[in-house]
Amino acid sequence: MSDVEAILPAQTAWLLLSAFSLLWIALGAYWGRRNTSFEDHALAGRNIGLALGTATAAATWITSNTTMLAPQFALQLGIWGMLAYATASFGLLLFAPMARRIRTLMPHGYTSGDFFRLRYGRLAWAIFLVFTLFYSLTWLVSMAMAGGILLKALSGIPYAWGMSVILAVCVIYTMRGGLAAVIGTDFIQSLVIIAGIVVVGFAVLSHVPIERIHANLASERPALLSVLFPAAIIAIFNNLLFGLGEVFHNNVWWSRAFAFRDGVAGKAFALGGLVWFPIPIAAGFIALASGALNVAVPAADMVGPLVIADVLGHTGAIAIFIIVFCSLASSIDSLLAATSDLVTEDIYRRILRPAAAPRNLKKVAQYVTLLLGVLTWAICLPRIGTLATVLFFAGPLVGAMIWPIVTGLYWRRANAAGAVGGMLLGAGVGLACYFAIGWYVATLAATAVSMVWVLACARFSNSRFDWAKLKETA
Amino acid sequence: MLLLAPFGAPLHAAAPRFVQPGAITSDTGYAMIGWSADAPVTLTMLRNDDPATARTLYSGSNSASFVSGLEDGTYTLILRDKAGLRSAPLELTVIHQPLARALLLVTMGALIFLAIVATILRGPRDE
Amino acid sequence: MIFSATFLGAIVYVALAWCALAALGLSAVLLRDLVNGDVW
Repeated sequence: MSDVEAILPAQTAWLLLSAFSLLWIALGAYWGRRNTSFEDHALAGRNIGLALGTATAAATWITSNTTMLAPQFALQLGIWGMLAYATASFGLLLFAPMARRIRTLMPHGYTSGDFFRLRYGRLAWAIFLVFTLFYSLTWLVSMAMAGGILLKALSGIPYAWGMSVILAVCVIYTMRGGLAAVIGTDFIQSLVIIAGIVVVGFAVLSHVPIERIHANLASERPALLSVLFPAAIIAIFNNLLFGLGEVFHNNVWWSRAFAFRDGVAGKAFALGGLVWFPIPIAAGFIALASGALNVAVPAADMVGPLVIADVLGHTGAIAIFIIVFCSLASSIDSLLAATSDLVTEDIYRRILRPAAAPRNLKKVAQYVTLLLGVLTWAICLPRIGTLATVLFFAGPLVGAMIWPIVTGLYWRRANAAGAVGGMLLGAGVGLACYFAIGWYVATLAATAVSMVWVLACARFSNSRFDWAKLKETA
Repeated sequence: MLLLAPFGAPLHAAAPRFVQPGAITSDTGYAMIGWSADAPVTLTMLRNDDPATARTLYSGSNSASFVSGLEDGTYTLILRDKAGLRSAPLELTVIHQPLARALLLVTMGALIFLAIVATILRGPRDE
Repeated sequence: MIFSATFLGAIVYVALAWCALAALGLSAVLLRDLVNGDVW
């Protein structure tokens, strides 16, 4: 982070923070009144319609990474950087047919953990839980840290305060309202984010036309325009596979597949992916204008806010603050909800207390949400800088899960040996590559190794899985 | 006799200096250049020691500048403050990753991706 | 070989227009769901 003066006065920032926080909490409390059971709390009544479904798919995938990292990617890796980032939407697009398949196979399912347990058995389930909880927790931590850092950089609000307020607000309305509150607020947040990006984008273009941006890049940052920029083109598929792994395995997306109304799941994910696709480009290109605008960039991760503040002044500062707060909230709440539901269903109900009454499960889910929030807060408080990069270790883990999940949904021949080996070998080789070669090959290596193992085990498999085993009733 | 410090700089100002030691390399064409200085500075960059390529990257009181999009080559960065004090030059060597390796990784990635898409779109097997 | 200004302009304007349409589309679909009492 740079030592640039705060773009927004702290008072304004606190005012905005308080106003939106109160709004989300009020909505959470209001929508939470419809939840009586754990099923309501975790799956919002299994009846989410197309509008909310599409918005939640898009909004949850628009994290502060999308709004802040997209400009950074553009500044580092140029045009291919923006296009590479946009490929993360393929995760949502490809999950569309998978969501339909999941609903067909598991009409009473709750979590992605349920799938692993029933499809592959306890060992695979255990490995899956370790991988997914690591990923989910690091994602949660990186979001909360980003929130604190961004609020501090934008407005001078001290890190500990900003981070704590964001987490506390998300925990409160997620506890009170469950998935319904998460999805409802997602709709509002998605509109705010998209509208903000459009306004900012056109504002930048009104200050400096494309031709001038291009000319400036050609003379000062020529590699950003290069069609054969090595680091950038490597990023394309590493990013894409990381995105596939994240969406295919995580309960954030499986819980939505279960929550959507019959017939909506496929359309909502497909439309959500289409809504998401242009965002890294629309949000990212403004960084390419920094040279033409003569905006000084002391740190790559601040280029977005700096350009916006330069072009829109005070209004721009408010806009970026609101956009970032909404994108943080829309992801943190989803992670809290999905992870607490996973822990409640997979660990509490399936392992610890199989006889638990449904009404108690809702309370347990709420407590787990609170616990997750506190745990995240405790990890974030010391602000260990390198923690945010721990998220990248998740690349090999999630990449290694792609093939076990895809083959597990469609091939009767896919078996536990394939899944277990695929996850362990893939993750192992991927992590080794991460340290020995570089971040940019880690996910690719993990997915490749996992694929070979899973395919080989399926090829030589004597077993044929009975899909009926997935139709476990509540 | 009154001594007036020029432009508010301390009487015996230290020359600006880069945070990194004399040379850095990059395989991506980008780098964060950091420095410490007592007064506002101007950062200029030459490419391959050719004075005709000199350009000002930044002028002001920040203590860092992010450069990116540089093609292969050796770049020399120098800080100057208003009093004319110069820093020791910082040499930035950019050698992009081998294109052949990049294209190989792209091909691998594309094949794996297509295999995933094919598996999903083919749908259930062995029913 | 570099991406041209035309290409850059095309992807940026298309992306911005796409985003604007997406926001309008989402609002329209929500209104339709609200009218049908079909939101959730």
